[in-house]
Amino acid sequence: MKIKNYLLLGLLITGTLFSGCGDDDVPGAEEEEEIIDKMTLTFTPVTEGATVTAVAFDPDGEGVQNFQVEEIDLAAGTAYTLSILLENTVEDENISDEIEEEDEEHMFFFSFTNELFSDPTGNGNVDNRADALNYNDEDENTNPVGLSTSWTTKESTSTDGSFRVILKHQPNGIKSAISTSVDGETDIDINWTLNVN
Amino acid sequence: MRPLLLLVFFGISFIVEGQIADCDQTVEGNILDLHTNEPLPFATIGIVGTDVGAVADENGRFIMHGICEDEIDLEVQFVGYKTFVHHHDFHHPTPTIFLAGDATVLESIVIEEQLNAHELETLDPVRINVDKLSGIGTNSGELFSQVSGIGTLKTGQNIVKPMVHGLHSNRVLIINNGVRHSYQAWGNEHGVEIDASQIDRIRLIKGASTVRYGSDALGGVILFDAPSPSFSTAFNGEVNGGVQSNGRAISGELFINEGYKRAAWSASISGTEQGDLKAANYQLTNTGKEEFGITAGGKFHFSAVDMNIFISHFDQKLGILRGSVNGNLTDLSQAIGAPIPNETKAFSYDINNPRQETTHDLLKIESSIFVGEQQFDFQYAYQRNLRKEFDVRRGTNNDLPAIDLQLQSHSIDLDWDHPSSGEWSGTLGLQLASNDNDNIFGTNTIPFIPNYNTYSAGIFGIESIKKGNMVYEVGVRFDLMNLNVRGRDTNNDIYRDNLNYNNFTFTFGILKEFNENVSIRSNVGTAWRAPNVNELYSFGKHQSIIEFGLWRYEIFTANDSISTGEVLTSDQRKVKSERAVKWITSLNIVKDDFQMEVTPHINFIQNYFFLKPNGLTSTVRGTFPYFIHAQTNAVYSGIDIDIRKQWSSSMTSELKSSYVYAVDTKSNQPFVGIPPFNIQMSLTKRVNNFSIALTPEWTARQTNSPSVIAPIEFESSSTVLDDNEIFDFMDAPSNFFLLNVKIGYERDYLAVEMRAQNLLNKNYRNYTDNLRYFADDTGINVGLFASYSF
Repeated sequence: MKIKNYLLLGLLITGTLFSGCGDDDVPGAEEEEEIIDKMTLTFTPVTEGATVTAVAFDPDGEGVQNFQVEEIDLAAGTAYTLSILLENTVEDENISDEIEEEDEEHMFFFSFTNELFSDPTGNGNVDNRADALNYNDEDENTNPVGLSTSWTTKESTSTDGSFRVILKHQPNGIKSAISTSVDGETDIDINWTLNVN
Repeated sequence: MRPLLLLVFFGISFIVEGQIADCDQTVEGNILDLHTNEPLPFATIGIVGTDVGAVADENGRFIMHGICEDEIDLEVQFVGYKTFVHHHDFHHPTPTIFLAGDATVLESIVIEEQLNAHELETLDPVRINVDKLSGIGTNSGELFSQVSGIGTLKTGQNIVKPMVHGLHSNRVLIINNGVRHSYQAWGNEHGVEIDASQIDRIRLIKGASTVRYGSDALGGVILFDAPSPSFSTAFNGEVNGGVQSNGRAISGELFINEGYKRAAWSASISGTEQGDLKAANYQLTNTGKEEFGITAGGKFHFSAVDMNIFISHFDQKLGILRGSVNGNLTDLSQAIGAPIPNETKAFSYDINNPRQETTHDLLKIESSIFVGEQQFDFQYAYQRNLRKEFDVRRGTNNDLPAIDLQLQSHSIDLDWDHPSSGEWSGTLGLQLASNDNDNIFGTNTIPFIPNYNTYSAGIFGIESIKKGNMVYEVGVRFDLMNLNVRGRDTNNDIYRDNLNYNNFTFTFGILKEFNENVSIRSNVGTAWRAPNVNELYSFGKHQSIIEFGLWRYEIFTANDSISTGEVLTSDQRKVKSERAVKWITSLNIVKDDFQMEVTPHINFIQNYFFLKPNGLTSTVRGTFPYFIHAQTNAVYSGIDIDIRKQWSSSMTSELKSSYVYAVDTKSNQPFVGIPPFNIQMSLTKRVNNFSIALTPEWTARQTNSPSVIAPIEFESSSTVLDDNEIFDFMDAPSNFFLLNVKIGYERDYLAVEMRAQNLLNKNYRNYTDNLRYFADDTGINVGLFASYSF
């Protein structure tokens, strides 16, 4: 194939001419700061009892494997403080700290099976911001954040309840005393199964 | 291969050959009205400094024999028109001279056919002369989208790319000032990055002209040309400017030109500042833009050598609708249902995230050498394209681009037009190109596409034979391409590959003139393109979907599972180039004041790359459908119709219509985003110095669209995704009717124009706009533009 040889020669010439031999630069190793691939819910009893943790973990980032979500098993009639830990395990980064630094533009919303808790009552504040929820933290504008919240389970037991945690990013003044779970962009939306034993 | 080598040596050591002046030169050409394109019968043509002259016939055609000089000045005169002098040489044998009226500000122009125009004769391009006012305050997309069969793929008003018979991005080739435009073509939301105010002429080729222009021209080719400096003119120029109501935009341009007998130069500077646009009923927050462009050009002409130098620089800062940002399907569902887009605020000139900042630089040196009837063309071009995309992110990352790419390209084009021997004429060409794409460090996210280099070489030959009223044209091309890729996977581990592609492409066409009124052109052309890096390597969330390139997933049929853990290589999975055969025919009827062109076309595409839904995956943001880049076979076919009627010397009407049908022939399904049927009328009337044009247009709803799965349905665990079913998140938008009006006034050195788009302030959405899910298209826009020549 004569024509091919000439063209290959041409390729070679252009290659050397235009880039110097062996342009072989690899993109720099960027820190993947965007990803949240691990979320840990820690329910610490206010008075006595066992601390309950539940972990949700993404084994392959944005790959096709599903998020693995553990079930939450709480004791009946117990008051808990829930703290949320968010991590980027690829970069070994604590995202909760970042959220805390920028708490004026982040907010957690919760929804759960109706009357799963004696406090807060109802089904959470995803559908209606004004609904009952016990935030323990607030930002500089005295709006709630949700890295720490308080919960009291009912006396009666139940299984297969749902407990959904949504983290909203509400930058540039979107977050306010009335901003809701549909405002801003969703950073996290995980459905947990919650049992009360 | 002799001619090729000869050509190369020729470029290195060329000695100008003298030419003997025999009195056997001939010049023939056409004289037309600049506005109406109507011939100017019995116009007079003279050679300055001699008594030699001629009178055009009733069709505006003239011919002069027995000229001794190699170069002459032609003076063209016609009552009511500006007298025009054109410096003519015999390497450009058939000038078409467009005369400007006495009372108009426009200058007469000449379009010269080169000895060989290097265009396929059987694929006649649609030519648009962009007058100075229509290029102001608009984007390049608006300039060509008025042609039937040509549309735009938009991401709002600011980001526009051409669509030819339903194909776009890597399937439509853009040639900017003779140079293959090198930009991040792969992204639907990556605009063309060419300054509309720098465009003087557009040629649109609706056929597959890969043989002539190289790979990627599956759907067609769009050629943009900047104004060329004119010889033999004293220092002159024009100032153009305009304001527009929608977006409260202000735009301006200054163009200057000076020409001597053998040298000429021109330069331009232009800019636009636009704030948030407005739909019929609400503000479109964060849709402002800033544009800035400069160009400079020089032209030299000697008896056997022409030389051209052109440089341009174009900066854009483009806002993208704030309401189009969404984190997951619940957000998307909410955004689709929202009566007004999320985060809508009062008007502002601020451009926040999401936004794009792009820069395109071009340097071109071009030279033509004439030896007898032969012509040698040499062109070198350097391009640098910078693209930064800023997303809504957490904290300080907002100031960092999420995508930061630099693409540098060099190209060399060599063409040789052999001496016509009898009925034969033809071109042999060689094109060499290199692209170097680098991710700029500092995005704090793993690059979506890898670093890569491509080296390509193509050689082509096109021959045409004229036999009676028939022209046969045949062409063949051979391309070689090397692609070297270096990227990082999700663990920051390096992956590499080195790929080679080669391809033969062919073209065959005929042109038959049945009589002076009826002619037919028909062309069958093949085209190819190598897979793009995003089709091979993309990984993860992009807008509202998750996508995996062809080498980022593996399907195990045994247990019906998929894995995305590994980056494959070309040895593990062969990915074939996309190949197309496009057959396009156009029937042309011209009778007195009636003109009609009917253009049916069909395009068979093999190994067609597309995004195929393959299942659902749950992520930290909730459940998403995920898509894999896959290959299928596709057919795109349709018809364009153009009818033009001149009712009187002052009134013209035009009707344009086009329809495209596209189908995945493997699964027999339609694709998303195929342009719907549309029809456009225009009526132009001139009274003295005034002109008024009324352009109603109607676009149908696309009925040949995939089924719809609303994003909310993915929340319910019972939703099962048929992994062979192409779907869309929303119904195709309803049909709509728009009315546009243009009123112009011209006198002496001044031209003023008022343009009103969407005069009825209709709220509508466009099926080929990526933002159709989030907001209506723009509402009424009234613009006032003026041009002053000096």
